[in-house]
Amino acid sequence: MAYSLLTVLEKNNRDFESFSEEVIFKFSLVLLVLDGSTGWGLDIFMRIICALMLAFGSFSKNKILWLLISLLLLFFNSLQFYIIDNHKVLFVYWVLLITFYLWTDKDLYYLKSNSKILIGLVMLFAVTQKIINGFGSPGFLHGRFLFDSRFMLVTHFIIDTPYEVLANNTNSISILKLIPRDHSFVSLTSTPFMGRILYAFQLFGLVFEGLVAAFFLFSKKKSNAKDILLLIFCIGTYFIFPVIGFSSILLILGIAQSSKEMRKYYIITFILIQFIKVPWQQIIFYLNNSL
Amino acid sequence: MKILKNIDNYLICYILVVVGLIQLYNSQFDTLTPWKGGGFGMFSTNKATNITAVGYQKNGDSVLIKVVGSKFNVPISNAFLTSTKNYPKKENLRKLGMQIIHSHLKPTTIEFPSNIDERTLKHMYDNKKFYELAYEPKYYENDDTALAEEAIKIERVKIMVYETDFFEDNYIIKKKFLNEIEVNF
Repeated sequence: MAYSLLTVLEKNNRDFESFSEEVIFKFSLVLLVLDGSTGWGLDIFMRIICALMLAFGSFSKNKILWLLISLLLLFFNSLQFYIIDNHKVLFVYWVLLITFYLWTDKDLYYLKSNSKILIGLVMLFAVTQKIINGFGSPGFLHGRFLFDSRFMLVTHFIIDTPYEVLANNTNSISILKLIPRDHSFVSLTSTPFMGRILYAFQLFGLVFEGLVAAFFLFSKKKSNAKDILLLIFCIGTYFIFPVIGFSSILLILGIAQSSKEMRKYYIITFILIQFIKVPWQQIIFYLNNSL
Repeated sequence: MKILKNIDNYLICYILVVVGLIQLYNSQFDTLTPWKGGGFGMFSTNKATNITAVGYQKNGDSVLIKVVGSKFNVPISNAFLTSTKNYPKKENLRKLGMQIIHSHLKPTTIEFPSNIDERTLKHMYDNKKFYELAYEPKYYENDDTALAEEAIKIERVKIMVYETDFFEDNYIIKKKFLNEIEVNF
């Protein structure tokens, strides 16, 4: 049974037509192994299938296995559509693209042109949502840095508010959320300086994101400027907002649509981005308080 | 023909746009959070929906309920609760209400925050009996164990959906009422 299954699978193996294609497929598999899961069910399948496809290179471009990955991602992610982060949805689009590519007679240009537009559209939606939700006015980043535990240590370093006070904000907000009383509120400690700095960052981020969107949607395919903008965006943004999955999928889409010349920079950035995992804030906090 | 060819070449991009537009509609005109649902609105707003519940016992006493989810000893799953918080549709709120009604509720003490607004703090002290304890849904193997931990049962529950947001002017996080439903046993 297992032998006949393997024979069927092997029949659907394809050799890579170019190094570019191999890089795209292998990096996509790496991403799926590292960050493809959205729960234990999917995680087990992804680790087994994608890791084996990487280990046995002849299966990396197997169209049955890519179809299986697509179906699993679609099934598990649709079950928890309102829970999963947006980059997990982007994973699904990307894997579907690869599957369509394998099951039709399209050439590599199909992946290149679609990945370029996907990056542009993602950025366009991100900018549109920000504008609609009032990101242009002060407050978003300031609020985030005052009550989101991921950024509190940065706040502590900037405005020198004791960390306990900031941690206490989180507790107060959880009580506020518990009580059934309209218009009740919790006051947080901050400074106008902090508000101004973060508002400047906020506006800069919005404009930069808009630029990336515009370049990916409207610039020429061979333009290096769009790649440089995306690389700066990934390094600048994701070391502050540590969403490794989003930066990784953007970089893989970047690799897919880039020229040979720019591809190496995407790969270097992909490696650099893994350092997001280092708990910089905690290390600095520890060193500050122990020396 | 040209349109069909274009759709064939860029089908996934079209799907992204359609999903994104649906998400945009639901997040602007319904209660879906911009952060989820394929519209790429993460890190776009501090607005967040929050679910508050008040339970009513047989004798008419009301209790404050802390709606928590867990993988293990709480009868509300984390996945369901998160999904409901992200998109508090009526049918999910009703389902949540039924889960609360059918579970035991274990009391935990609440510490009144010092940085909450004065009127609310005064209101909390004036109604100390109601606010000093919050009841969490918990799974017990039998009624005796539940009784030993002073867990209670309720007859009906009112689930209220609020929205919290950060306001730059006074550095405050404020909550605003959105809607409510009542679920009976």
